[in-house]
Amino acid sequence: MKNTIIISLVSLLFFTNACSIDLVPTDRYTEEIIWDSENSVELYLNGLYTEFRNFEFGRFDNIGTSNATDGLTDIMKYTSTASGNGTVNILATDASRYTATSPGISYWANAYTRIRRINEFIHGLHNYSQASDEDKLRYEAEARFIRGYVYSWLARINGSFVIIEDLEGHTKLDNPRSSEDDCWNFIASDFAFAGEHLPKTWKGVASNQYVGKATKGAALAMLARTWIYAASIAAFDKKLYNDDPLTGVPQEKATTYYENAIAAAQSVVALAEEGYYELEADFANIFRQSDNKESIFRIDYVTRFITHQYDFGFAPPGDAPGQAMVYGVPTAELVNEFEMSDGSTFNWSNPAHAANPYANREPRFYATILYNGANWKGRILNTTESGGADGFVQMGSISEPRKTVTGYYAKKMLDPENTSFIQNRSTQSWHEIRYAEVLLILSEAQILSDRLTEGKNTLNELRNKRGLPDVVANTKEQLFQAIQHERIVELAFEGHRYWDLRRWRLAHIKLNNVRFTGHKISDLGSGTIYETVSADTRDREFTERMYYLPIPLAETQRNNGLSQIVGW
Amino acid sequence: MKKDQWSIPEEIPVSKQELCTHEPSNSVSSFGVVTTRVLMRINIVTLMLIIGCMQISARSLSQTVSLTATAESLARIFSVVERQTGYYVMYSSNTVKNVPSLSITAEDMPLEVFLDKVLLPLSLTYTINEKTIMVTKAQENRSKSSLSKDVQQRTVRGQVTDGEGRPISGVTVRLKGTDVVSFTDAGGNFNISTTAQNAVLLFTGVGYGSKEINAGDAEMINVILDEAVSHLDEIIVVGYGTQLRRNVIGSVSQIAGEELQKAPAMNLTNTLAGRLPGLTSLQQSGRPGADNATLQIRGRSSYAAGQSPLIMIDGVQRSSFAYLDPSEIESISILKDAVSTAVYGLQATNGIILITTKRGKANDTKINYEGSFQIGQNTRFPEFLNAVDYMLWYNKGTDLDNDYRLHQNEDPVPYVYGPRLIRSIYDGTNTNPLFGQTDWVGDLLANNSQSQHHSVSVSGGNEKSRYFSSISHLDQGGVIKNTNFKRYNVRSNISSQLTNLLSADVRLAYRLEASKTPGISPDNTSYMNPFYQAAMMLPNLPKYTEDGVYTAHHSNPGWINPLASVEHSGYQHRNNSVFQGDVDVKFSVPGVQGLDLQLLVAYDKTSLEGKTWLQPYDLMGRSHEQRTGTFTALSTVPGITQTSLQQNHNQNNRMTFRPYVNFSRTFGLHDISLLGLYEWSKYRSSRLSAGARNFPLDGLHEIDYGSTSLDDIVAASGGSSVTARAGYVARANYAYADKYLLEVAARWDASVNFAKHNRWNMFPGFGLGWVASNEDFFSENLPFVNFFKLKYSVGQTGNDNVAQAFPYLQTYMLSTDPVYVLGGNPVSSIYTSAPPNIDLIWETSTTHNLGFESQWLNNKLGFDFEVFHRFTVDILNPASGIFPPTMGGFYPSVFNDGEMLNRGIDAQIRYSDQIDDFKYSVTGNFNWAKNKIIKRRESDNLPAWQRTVGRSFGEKIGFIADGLYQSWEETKDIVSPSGGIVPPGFFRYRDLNNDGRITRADDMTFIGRSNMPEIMYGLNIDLQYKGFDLSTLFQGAALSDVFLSGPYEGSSATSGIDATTVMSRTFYQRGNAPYFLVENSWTPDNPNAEFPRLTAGKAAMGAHNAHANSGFLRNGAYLRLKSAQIGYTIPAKVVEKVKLGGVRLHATASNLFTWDYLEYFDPEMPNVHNGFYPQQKLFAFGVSVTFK
Repeated sequence: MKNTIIISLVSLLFFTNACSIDLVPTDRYTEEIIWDSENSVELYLNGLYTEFRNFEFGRFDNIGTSNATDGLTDIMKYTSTASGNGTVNILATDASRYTATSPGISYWANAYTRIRRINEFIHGLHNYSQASDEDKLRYEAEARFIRGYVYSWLARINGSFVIIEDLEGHTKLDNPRSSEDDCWNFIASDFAFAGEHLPKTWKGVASNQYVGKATKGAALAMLARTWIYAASIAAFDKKLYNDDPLTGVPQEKATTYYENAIAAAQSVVALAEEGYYELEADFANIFRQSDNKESIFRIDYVTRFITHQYDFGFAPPGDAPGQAMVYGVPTAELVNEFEMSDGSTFNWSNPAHAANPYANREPRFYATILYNGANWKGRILNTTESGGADGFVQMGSISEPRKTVTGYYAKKMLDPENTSFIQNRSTQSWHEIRYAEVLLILSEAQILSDRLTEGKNTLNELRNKRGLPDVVANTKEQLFQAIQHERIVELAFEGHRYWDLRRWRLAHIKLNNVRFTGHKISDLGSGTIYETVSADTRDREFTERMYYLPIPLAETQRNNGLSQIVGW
Repeated sequence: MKKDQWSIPEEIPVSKQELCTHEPSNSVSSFGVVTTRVLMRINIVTLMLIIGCMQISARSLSQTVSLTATAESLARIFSVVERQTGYYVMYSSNTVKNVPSLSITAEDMPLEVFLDKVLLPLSLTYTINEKTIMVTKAQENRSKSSLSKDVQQRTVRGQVTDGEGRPISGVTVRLKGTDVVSFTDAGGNFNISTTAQNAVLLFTGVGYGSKEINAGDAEMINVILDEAVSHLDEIIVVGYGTQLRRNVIGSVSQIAGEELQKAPAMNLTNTLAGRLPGLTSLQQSGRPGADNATLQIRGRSSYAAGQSPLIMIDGVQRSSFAYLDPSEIESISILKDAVSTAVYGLQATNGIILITTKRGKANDTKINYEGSFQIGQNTRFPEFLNAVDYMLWYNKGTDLDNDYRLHQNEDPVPYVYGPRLIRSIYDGTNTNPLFGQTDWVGDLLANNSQSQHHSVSVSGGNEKSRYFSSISHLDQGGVIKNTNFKRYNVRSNISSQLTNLLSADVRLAYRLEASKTPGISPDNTSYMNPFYQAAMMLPNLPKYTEDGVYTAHHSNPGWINPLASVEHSGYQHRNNSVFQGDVDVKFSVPGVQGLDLQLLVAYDKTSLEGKTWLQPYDLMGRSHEQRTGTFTALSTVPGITQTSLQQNHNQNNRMTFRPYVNFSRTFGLHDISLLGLYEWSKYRSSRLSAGARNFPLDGLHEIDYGSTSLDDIVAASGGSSVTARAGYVARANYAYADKYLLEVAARWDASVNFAKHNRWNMFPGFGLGWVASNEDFFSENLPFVNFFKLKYSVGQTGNDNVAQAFPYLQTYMLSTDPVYVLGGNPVSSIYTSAPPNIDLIWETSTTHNLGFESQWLNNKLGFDFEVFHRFTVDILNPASGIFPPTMGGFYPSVFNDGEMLNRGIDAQIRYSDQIDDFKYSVTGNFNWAKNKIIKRRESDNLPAWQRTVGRSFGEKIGFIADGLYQSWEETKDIVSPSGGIVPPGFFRYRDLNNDGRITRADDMTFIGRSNMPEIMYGLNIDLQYKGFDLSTLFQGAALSDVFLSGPYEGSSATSGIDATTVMSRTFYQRGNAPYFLVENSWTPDNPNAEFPRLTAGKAAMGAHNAHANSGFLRNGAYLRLKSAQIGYTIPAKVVEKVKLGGVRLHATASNLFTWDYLEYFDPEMPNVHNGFYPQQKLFAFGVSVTFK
């Protein structure tokens, strides 16, 4: 009997082998299933698109909370002086804040994390995917569209970066930087590939469920943007500002690259002629109507799930007393830039202009700027010093005023219907690239490659659509000035100005040793007084070496193949 | 086992009667329950036990014999006896060699009668020990002398009781100089026969001190034994078993449950500091329900994550013991060295904490009630500026900021607060409704908390079954409003001897932990926590507006009001129900003395229900620096913009299945015990969460009553995970003559964290002990040393702790929330995990432990000392921070990388004595553990002074601050590492590489130690005089540092980012400032200040001082009076009149005094904080009543 018990207990010890520890995770998918279906490929791609959100509404997330690079320029002034919301102000006035430890403006680490995801996707696509060759090309085109975009930011910031084009590259500890010229060409090749293999539109495909993905037009527009940057570096850098052996684009390539920009832009124009794109008649409508003809690539939002906080950040404070952030406001310099409706220049020394400065300005002014006396959400804005919630406050007197320091608020991309953005945030679309920009690129490239008439015509096409007469300019110099002006007013707050000044190598002139201004408005009852006041408490500072910002220390310390950009 | 290979000691002259009554000494072991000859008739028992796939059937057994034998051999007769009774008959073949064949007839004859009838004529005698009948030769001469009654035999009787008059059963009563022993019965009664005229009796009982009584010629003596005086005879809980302390080779520290009750700690993890050599603890929060101390055994052996000890409660792995009730605890022991932990294999490297819950004692039925009431206060929190001082200091800060502005060609700014305003507030004539005086910090946290604790336990039983049942309740209040913690514990432990062969322990425990905090939780890590708000809140605001609404201040992070945040922000409720059940069945294999088969099956289930209700609340805000106008009405504060409800339900369960075999027996001078074990456990967890928002009506906080608008739908979420492990354990202990001890242990273990080909490994341990004091030469030469044991062990243990399970698999995750909008719809995404590491293996530590245990001066003085050396290889190192960003995270999340050495000492010294009625004992504990990184993957480009190799884990990196700059002249060429201008009063950082620039990359180095102290010590003093007792524990730590400023800890978004806080930069983020900070900040009048330049935030000065640096480093060493308890036991005579067993009253204080280097904070504070829930100073009053 006892033997029976012993045997049964001992045998129990062996049965226990049945108690398995070979488990499968229940919180993740394993390799086998992922490349099986088209669905999972699409799901993977969805994640890649999120990269565009880092730059939505012209912001540059890597500076600090919701900081737009326009705040580093003459068109927008950030109101806070504290780090965080006011980091742009600190960076704009203190060049010593740019160091390899804290590069000030940096996208490096985030960029390569995204690049690796993209390269991983392309690797899987080529090696494991069961998709048809045609589909594979389309998937790869989408991925490379995003990769080109990511790299284009590194090119803008650092000039010379590490080109990693496949997964293999991410396993190395000694990847060198490439020359700036190679970098721009690499980006162009990604966009060109995307332009070749993406459809012209996603409308009508699969019940419209892919609307919002990259298209042929988007890729070609990005390609045009890429070439205008590369051409500008070639034309203006001339190795005047940096001794690094890898920065700069040979000056002799400028012509070719302008031609490339023209070609890319013209292929977008060709798509427009096919009916895909068109300049909107109502400028304000571009930013309010998500699905408009001018938009080439946009990001959409859906209440509750995918929202943004643009209204929270930029709406006049009277919209949500005590809560709205008022990160940045338009400068007097920007306001002055808007022409009169007849195309003449606005001038404070013109008594008629000065007496009624906000009357008879070109249409884009009213869509872009909220000024004293403007009608907004059912109230007449009062931005005078005694104007209450929306009133003016002197820059620097309060570290984070959350009110205007220039007398203006940025109107362009606000949603005038949204009165509950504190609770529900915002859902108006962001247009990453629009047809007007393509025309501006085309015009600039034509002018700077001495096709002045073509350039002027292109520019006038845009101006006329905006309700303005033809430009009064004839020489290349005048036309280049006109382009600069047009880009300011057309693209204000869309995050272009800082990068434009950099690529034209004008930043160290325009953003240095200067204070930008606002208008302190006093309503005396008998009349209104406009006083130009400094919106800066310190002089702006942009040193020449800032055209190539340093590579973060984490890279130079850990990558044996890479040296810091000379000068840092 | 062959029966002729062992012999019976035959030199002791005892009668058969004595032999039958008393056991031979060598069969007394700690493993068996010794029974006397009082054999009861046991009815037929059939037991069917079905557990899982197991089925055991036992045949009927009886204690009578029926047989008819004709000329049978004795061996045949014995085998019939064995079959019929289930008893096992043991005898040496020598004994029965010349026995003739027998004839006998018996019918239902009681076993003893039968044996007497058979054996006596053969000059054989027998003893019965448990189920074993041992047959030996009766000594001729002894029998004769006994029979001849040359010497008068008499019996001494008596009763053994403890100090409180309770009888003690199972005490061994030995006639000194002989092996004649007896045992007390359930009533504590004994009787022992002696022939001696002056019998000296030696009383020893487990858990009691031994006592020698000269009985003289008395026939009746009553003896009182004192509890637990004999340190060496304590039963020590070790892995999968117990050992007597004198036989332990491994490094094990143990504390009895009663000790834990000497402190009013609400959380068991906080009671251990300073009481156990080898244990380090750090308690960084005092919030009820979140006040767990971080425990480490012998410091840190690896730089990988997850270095906490494994916790086993009643032999089963369980996540935490923090919320067990102290009254449930029998003992807590910690296993430190390799031989004692080897049996836990892959999880053993960080040491093991073993908790044993109470069992009932036979014939000691009692009901015990413990009750106490506590009052708590914060140990420390800095005082913040009042309204007038705030404005004066703010203006002074403005002066310094203007100095800065002027040096930067910026326009100066005017004072915000003019003298008239300040004056009016000072003298109470202020009429500006925007201003007032409020002590926000004081109102928030200068309260007393109230707590109470009750526990009732019932325990007792008889020889057959014993029970311990208890129910307890703790209601722990917080100093912050709406913050408390409650727990309810129920336990029932039953031990039962089912048959002679089968016994079972069934332990069932359930507890409910309920914690409650405001919607914005008062934790250091939570966003906008109330401490933070209080520190930021301006004191020159009135508490309420004229309408009775709380005011608010616009600090940089948003609108704040600490009082409103704890009163109106909603709530977070967390109810955690924990069930823990296990059954341990033991089957004593008949025929093989000392062989047991055991099976433990445990099932634990934890079920957590959380409910978070957040609601916006009204505040009336005054902007920063606003002096005129009116308050702005605010209805949504940052972080809470609408009503929302989140409910989550998390559950996890663990199954443990463990069959095991124990064998332990004494063969003459050889003590052997063997263990074989298989253990398998599976842990599953799952979670489910749902919510609702925008409740149209307030009042009912249920998901059903949320908004039904599609826009307001909150998606539900859920998931699960599962892990399992398995292992085989073998262990052998051998002792020769109680002098030479040997232990060998090994575990073959598997973990799912590694690929199949790397899954199993063996972790061996080996230990040697030498009880030198048992050597003759030792006792002759060193009579004042009562006990001296030298011990050494070596072994390997493992660690499989990785941040995410299955690191050897390439996996893909689906985003829980949509990430992008396509076609107008939110879409999700899939992303890949880090690449897999299929070569990953466990981290292995090899530990050597050398030490001694000793008792001196008649056991009054004890001194134990151990030194250990642990070398860890293949450390499971998370890879981040090693590779360049261009790799884009394309590397496995964890590598086997690097080596680390950890070494140190533990020591304990004990002294106890008694002078008449005055008893005292002093116990000192000390441990020191220091680790060193030997090898680690680091970037080649790191400067030598930033390499962690050669340094200890957790050392703090930062700039060396050589004081403060004193003039603009000095600083004009200095560029801050964060960019920006450096004004006087900022730290002067040392340029380590002499390149003329201060950079984080080149000039930071190691400047401070880890927060976790290297040295921890405690001194426990117990005094007792008649009914009074006093117990005090001093506890200290040394060799640790804390940062006031530097890298943030805690909340994920800011963790690791260097920053100053409201405690280290004046008026930081538009906040208030503590007095200590402004008064010790640099100003031209205070050039030798402790803190940098005073500022009111009116100049855009850089974050220069925010870089981790030695100027903000403070020594974290401290010594505190951790607890002091005074008790009075009402004399037994008094309480007996009211039919009570005992009554003790006590008063306790904890964290009463602290001596340290931080005047304003608790020394166990977290690094870099904006205010945290400090440790609590507690005063408790309690009573303990026993009913019998």
